[in-house]
Amino acid sequence: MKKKIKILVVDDEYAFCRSLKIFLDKIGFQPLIATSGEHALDIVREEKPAIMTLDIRMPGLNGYDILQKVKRLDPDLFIIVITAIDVPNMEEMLEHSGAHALLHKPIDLQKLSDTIYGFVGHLL
Amino acid sequence: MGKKILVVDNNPMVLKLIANLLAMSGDEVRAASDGLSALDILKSYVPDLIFVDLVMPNISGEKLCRIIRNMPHLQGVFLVILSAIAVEEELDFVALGADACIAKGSLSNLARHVARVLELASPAGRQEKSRNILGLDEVATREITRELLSSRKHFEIIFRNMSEGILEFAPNRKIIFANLAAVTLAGVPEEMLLGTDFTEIFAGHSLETVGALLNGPATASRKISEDMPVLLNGRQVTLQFLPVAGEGGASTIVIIHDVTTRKQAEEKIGEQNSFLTKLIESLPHPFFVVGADGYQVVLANSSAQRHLAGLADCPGHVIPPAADACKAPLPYAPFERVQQTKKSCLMEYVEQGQDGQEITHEIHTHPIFDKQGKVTQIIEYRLDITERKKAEQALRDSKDELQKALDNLQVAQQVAIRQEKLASIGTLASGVAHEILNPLNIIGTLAQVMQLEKIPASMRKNLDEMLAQIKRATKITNNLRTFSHQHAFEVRLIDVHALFDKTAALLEHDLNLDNVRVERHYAQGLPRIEADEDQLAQVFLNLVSNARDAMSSGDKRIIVETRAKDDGVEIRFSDTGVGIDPVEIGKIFDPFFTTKDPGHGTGLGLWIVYSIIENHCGTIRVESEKGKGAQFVIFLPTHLQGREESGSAEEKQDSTSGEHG
Repeated sequence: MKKKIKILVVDDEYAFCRSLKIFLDKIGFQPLIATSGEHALDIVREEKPAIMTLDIRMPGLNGYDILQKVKRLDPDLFIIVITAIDVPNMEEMLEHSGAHALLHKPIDLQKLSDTIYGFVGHLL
Repeated sequence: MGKKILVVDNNPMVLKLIANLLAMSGDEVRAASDGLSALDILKSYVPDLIFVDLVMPNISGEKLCRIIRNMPHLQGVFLVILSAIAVEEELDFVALGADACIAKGSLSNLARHVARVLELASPAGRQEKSRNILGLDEVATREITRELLSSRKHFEIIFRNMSEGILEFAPNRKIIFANLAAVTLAGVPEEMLLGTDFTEIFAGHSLETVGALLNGPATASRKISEDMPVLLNGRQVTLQFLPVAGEGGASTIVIIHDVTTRKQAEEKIGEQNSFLTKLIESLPHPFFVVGADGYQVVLANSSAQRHLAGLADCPGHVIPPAADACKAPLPYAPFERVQQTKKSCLMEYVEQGQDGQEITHEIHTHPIFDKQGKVTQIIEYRLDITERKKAEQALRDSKDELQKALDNLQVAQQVAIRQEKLASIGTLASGVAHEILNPLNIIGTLAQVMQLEKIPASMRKNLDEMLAQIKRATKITNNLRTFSHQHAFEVRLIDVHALFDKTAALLEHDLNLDNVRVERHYAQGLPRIEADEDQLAQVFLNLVSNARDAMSSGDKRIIVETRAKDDGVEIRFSDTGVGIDPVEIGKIFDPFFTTKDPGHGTGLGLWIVYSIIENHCGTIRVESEKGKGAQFVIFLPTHLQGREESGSAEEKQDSTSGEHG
């Protein structure tokens, strides 16, 4: 059996992490959960996930801080930002910081899976 | 015992006869040929008896008698009158103060009567009072004498009643005649006046003047004229000297005219005139009087002569009815107006001054009437009210400016309040949006996860509904957040027409479905404006959807009109919908205000429009009547100078905030 691709879900809302975990499980990935920036960096170091979903506004390290640090740990990590923040030029800003996709909350799971498969297909 | 006797007679024969007669009886006799000489003698000589001829030159016998009787030292003298006219003139010699009277007849009779008189003058004879004229029966009446006497009486009456003083003095200047007026003027009794030196009736400076005049050459025109009257007993008089040729040199008749009253009146008039002259000269304004007939200047002060063209040679100058000084046409001719209305009239007119400055005059004209009420003269004076007008204007201007400043302040205050409200709502909205989106996100994710399970169709339908409601909630939240100032404001030069067309194209499908037509009345050459394209598109979008929602039936049209105005662009959006209730028109830009059914409006559309326009330093207002559609009038400036970068602070706070989210 082929090894499942690891996807790290980073969001300070545990309920969201859990619901996304159910979905990712369902569509055949191995979800990992981190509810803080520090925790997320640890997991990236230890588990080396291929994909990470990232919230921007979080207590402690926020999304931008994590982006900068995680890029040094794993430049190849595919990062999808999922946020409730909506400011102009955010996409460019995130791209500049090393994020690969931007999805708004409330999340449309179809769009998320499309994004993920898009990257995975690219990998294969 | 000889008596002292004085005989006064101008007839030397009579004089000689009486002197001889009396001398024979051992009396002391002195003789005088006229009244003046007699008076001289009597100054130092007190006779017992005086014979006085009645008809004499200079002072007459009658007057001499009166003078003698008024002299205290001559009270006891026996006075005898010799009258050559006793028959013709009934003489009451007692009334003259005489003790006896002899009618002059032949010399022999005269001698007899003189002897009789001497008897009467004796102490014994004095007891015998008689009013009889001695020798009256011995003379016959002479008609010529009677006529002369009658004529003299006439003259006496005339002289007595003349208002001019008539006075006569002898060559030695002794006064020998004075009529009643002259006596009154001199203020000295006649008997004292007669025999007095004429010059001595004057005093001080007047005496010198008269003396100098009389010492000068005796000409027919010698006089003291009205220009320089002399003072006589406190009155101002003129004197006219008329030489009268006569025996023993020329006597002089003086006509004395009392000009005091006239002089005083003249003086008073002079004073009044100078007072009036000073009065009108003191006026800095042109003041003049014209005759009503022909407008000839009667009087003008120097200001009038300076200011009014052609008045320099007044009086006599004719002023045209519509004063020629002014170039601007007068509303009416003031002189004619006054003549017609017989009332004062006031008007203003503006004159172009020599330096091109406008001068505003106020012209006052007043009628002067005669006793019949006819306007005979017209007074005009002019006030230069340019400064006053300027001051009034300045006052009005400053009042307007103050009002404007106050208005601006009030507008600024309203804007400030509004902006503060918007800012706080924006901050709140941005925070609330984030907090609501997170739970919506979780609910939505779970619902989507549940849909992946094998579940009954009814539950799947419920989950669909849940997701739809989440979308709705998300939409409201996102709308709210649009104005949390998180958007960067990107200013570009925008072609309003192109942008509207692009925006309307997005809605074209919906509009067609609803049978809504969009009419465009675009102004040619409309300037491009500085604006944020996305935000302006949002404005168009909201207004068009709003208009569409307001039109449920009938004629459905959206009319867009543009035009350049001031330093910007005016855009009018009209619809043919239901219009806005007057009660609600003040609230339509408030957030969460909606007239749509629940679930159909967020109540944020117009608030967003308002906020965007305000952010662009523009204005928006609405005009509407219930049932007659609505019209939104937007003004946007061409340049966005001075716009505050209100978005940046929010943005920074947002990105660096470590808040829970």
